[in-house]
Amino acid sequence: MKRKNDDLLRLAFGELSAESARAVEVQASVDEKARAELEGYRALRAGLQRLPAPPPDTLSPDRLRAAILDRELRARRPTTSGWAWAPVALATLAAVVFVSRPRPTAADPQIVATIDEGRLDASPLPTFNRAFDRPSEASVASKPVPEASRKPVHTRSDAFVTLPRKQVEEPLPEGPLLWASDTRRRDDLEESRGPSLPPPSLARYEPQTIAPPTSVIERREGRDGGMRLASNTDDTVVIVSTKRDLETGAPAATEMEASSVLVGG
Amino acid sequence: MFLSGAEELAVRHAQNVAVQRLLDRLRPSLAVLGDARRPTGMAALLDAEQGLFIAHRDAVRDGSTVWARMGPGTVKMHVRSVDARTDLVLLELAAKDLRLSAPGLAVADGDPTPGSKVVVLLAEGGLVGSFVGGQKTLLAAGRPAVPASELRFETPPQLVGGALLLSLDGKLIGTMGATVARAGNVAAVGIGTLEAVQKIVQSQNKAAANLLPKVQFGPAPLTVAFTPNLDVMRRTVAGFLSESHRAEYSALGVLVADAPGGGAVVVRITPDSPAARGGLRVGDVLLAMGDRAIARQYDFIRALVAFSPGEKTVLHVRRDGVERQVEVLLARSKL
Repeated sequence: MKRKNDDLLRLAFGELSAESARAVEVQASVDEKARAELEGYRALRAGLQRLPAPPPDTLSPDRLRAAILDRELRARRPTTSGWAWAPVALATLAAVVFVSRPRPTAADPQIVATIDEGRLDASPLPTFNRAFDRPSEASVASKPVPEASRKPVHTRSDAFVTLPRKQVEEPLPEGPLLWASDTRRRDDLEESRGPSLPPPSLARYEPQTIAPPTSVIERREGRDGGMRLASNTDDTVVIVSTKRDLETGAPAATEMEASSVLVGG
Repeated sequence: MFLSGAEELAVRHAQNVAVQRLLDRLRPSLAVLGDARRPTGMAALLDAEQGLFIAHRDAVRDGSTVWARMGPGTVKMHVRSVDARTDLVLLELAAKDLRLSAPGLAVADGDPTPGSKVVVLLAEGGLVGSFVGGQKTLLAAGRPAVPASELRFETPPQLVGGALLLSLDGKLIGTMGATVARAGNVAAVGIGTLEAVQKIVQSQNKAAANLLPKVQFGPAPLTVAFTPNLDVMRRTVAGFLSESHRAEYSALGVLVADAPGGGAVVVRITPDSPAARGGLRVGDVLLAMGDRAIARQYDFIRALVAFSPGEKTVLHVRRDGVERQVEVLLARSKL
């Protein structure tokens, strides 16, 4: 079937030899579906031919500069020629296949950490066979840090070591994670960059902890049940599902103008 | 601004150069997280002295320990805390005697300008998108509503779920929380019938696809994504850096809906909650919380994020046509 469709398409676009074209025409003449398909492809070709030509690849340094600055980018001036987009360089650029993501350049190792001698960890890497959980307090309790040697140590350079296959794979727990109340006193109030902190008189007050009601979507009678796909306006809700968008890997979402949502807090 | 194909390429190249320079500058403050098979995401340094990093839950996968590549070496990190609203995790270096010399990343001071470029931090590099803004609200089953902002990507952002989001000057502005599925790729529009073109492309007919124009012009498919807004990010990061290493959100104990004529009408009140103790009643219409006006129910959610647990605030409400003030002491949210 695929081959047949290919032939019809090639016939419509004049890609077949005379003999092949005749054979395909004969086959299409007795097959109504194929004939309709062929007509569709011919209409497609006619449409393509009516299209205007793409704009010429003209270069305007002023327009480029304005566009780049407009997009809040600042290009470094080359030391030799200042702001110069050589036509040759740009022509080369135009010929390069555009890659959507820049590849990281190989960076020389930078000293980002120092470590005591003798602390090179050469033990085999553990397997991840436990469900996602909060580490115990003991494992993260802070302890006095010994004076570290300033001598940089080149640790293992291979980025990833092959781990043994995971023995057990448990899914992450669903739903919100509930935290026990923090019973420690808050004696030190540091200035926070964001939301305001309780005034000093409440520094020793331990606020009540409650589980606020989470949002509820109420289905109403009617064709759309009170939910309509949004037309990209403000104040729309974004329903996030547990399923993943296969392309982006992020949770799939649907934007809606929901008039029957109760939000809690 | 209209640009020709080559100009557009040149602008994008300049854009990519800017992103690459940003990543090179931030590299000492970044760690590539991975599992046995491949990189899973990027962690960003928050506090060098405490060895604290921030990453998305998706990059950590399962387990309470994760391995990360930093510079030339590999380090182990423990998961210290998880924020349910943003799915951000706080990671702590396992080796306490490791001295980090890189600066920690900070949350942006103000909202990005609509239209400004943002960088998605991937293990392989950076992907550029545009910040749209808007007043969105993310709703997920069993989770608190989260105020969010919208992003757009012109190039298909593959496998970006959970990535950290930075401004072009290297400040944290969010995470790739959710994306709207696109209808499918269309190489060109306005040719014959759209259905015919879609049919050709979606049938993966290579012969046909090769006959279509290569240069894309006209409306292009976009990917729309959402990130928790800056108020949420600031609270999360501030919480991670606090003594408890946990982001704390306030709670009032109400369910609200849009009120006719404006405001948010209280539909349910949790017993013994700050709302109940403060004397709120079902049917009261919230008009403002402190100095934050509430025109719709989602404004209530946005206002709540701005307050801390234990903070007193005044609710301006309308009850039976009469406006009055109700003082409440906000609780700490368990969620």
